[in-house]
Amino acid sequence: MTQYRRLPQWFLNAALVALLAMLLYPLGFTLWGAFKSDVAFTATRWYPTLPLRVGNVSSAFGSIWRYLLNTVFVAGVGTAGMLLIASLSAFTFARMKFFGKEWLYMLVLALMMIPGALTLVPGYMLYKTFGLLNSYWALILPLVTGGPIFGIFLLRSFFESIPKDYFEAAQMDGAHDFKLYYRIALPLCIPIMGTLAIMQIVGAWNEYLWPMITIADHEKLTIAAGLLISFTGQYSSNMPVTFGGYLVASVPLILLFTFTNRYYVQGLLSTAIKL
Amino acid sequence: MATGPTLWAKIWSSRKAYLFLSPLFLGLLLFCYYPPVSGIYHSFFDWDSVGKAVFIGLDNYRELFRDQVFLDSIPTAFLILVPRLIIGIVVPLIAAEMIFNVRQKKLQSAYRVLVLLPIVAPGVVGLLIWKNIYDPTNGLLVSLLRGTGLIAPDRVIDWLGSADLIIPSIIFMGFPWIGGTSVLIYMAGLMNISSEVIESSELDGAGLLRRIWHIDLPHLMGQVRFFLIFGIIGGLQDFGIQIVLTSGGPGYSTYVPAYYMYIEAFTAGRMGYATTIGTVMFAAIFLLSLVAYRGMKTETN
Repeated sequence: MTQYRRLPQWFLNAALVALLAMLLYPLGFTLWGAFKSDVAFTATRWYPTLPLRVGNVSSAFGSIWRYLLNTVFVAGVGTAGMLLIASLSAFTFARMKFFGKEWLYMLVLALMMIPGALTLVPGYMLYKTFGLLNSYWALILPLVTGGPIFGIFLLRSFFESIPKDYFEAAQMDGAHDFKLYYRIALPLCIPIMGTLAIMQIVGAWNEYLWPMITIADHEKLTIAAGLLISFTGQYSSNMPVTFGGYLVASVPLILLFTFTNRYYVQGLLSTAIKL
Repeated sequence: MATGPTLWAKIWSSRKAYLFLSPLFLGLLLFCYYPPVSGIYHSFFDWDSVGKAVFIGLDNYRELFRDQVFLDSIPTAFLILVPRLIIGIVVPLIAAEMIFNVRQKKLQSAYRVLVLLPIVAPGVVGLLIWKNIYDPTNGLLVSLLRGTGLIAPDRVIDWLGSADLIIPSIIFMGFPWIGGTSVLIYMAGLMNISSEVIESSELDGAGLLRRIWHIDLPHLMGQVRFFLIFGIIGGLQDFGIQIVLTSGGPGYSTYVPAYYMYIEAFTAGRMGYATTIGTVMFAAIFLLSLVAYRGMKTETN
């Protein structure tokens, strides 16, 4: 009887491996697609073959390095700003007593319910009025202003779960509020800030609509929009180079993921995201 | 007023907290609170892309509810949203249960990392790869169907180009639909269930399915509600597939309200009309998520 109560482990593992294989197949497809010759791609596109044609990747790199650089700049500055504002605000909401606290907090959370459909057009017109279209500001400011909202939601409950004693001991020693924030709260929340940072960086990496709308000058586009524009036009006939472009576009994220996936997994597993 | 001085005293004594919050609220006021207000306001205007606005009262709304492209785009949005929403909630839950029940800890954490791996490719790349999978003459799907003899070797299927196939094709996109982040959010919920509860249910003789139904699912309702509500909010506004793959076609068969709004604003330059679509969508999304939230709440309490 007992073996019927739990799924047998071998079955579970086999099913998971099969599912993961299907999930990851498109990634593999991109990987070997990038290293094929034109002819090989037509004949054998669904599985890897030798020899590897590295030339595809380097010619793809030549046409998209600029987008990559832009994305690193925009995502880097935007994420740093977002983390600073989100952590300071979440700390304030979690650890300080002040007039109108819950009311202000609800004002921030309510913004999570405002759909982008309502704000896309007026947002665009606002940036237009300020003359910020076609500049890096149009890409960075949304990350710094709207980005902290979800971060505050996530970090507040985290800061509230830190035992009071940590802060009280420091207060006894005469630490003021700002010091409590950067000496105690900040170091403790680094893993979960890693989670947030990855979410934001991945978000900036994936965003194509806003850059396509606000940036006229191709030199300033970020990677997703750049890929859409350059690889649905000039290279659309050369599939291996196109896949080389996809691969190059993914490399920085692969590196980020390799070094930070532990934080990301830990951060997600340690917070209860629910309603 | 009698409360005057005390109110000011309260505000004055909170000045430090307000100082800490000022960078946040400065940004929010300008870039997050102003745009939705401006959007609703301008839905009563003929607003062009230069910024010139002429008040026209309810004309935009009257036009919108007689606009056949808009009216037809509403059922299309739900035809795409509902199946994708169910898939997005159920499939990661199954995957999370599977990974959670793997007993070997090393394997379990390897699965957790692998399931997240697809986030390394930009979403656009994912869509463009599906364009290849759906290629009518030699895409993966057609090749598979030919290889297994399900269709004739020279048969061509235009998955994204025929009005009958386009909606099922969009729903199928992303198979096997395991969103890594969702899986981990569910796993966090599962790990929060105390092992005593699980063990005692097993001692009582509850099988795996009974345990999932009576213990795991009620514990995960908060997560399900999160995915449901943010799935409705996000799903109704998403038009990535239209931008990258279909351009709303064939014909108008994949027009959804959000895509129509985008077209009206950024190709037709009708900013006022677009904000009207946005305002109507906002009202619909708000009502739907409220209903969903209430509905879920009574079920669990």
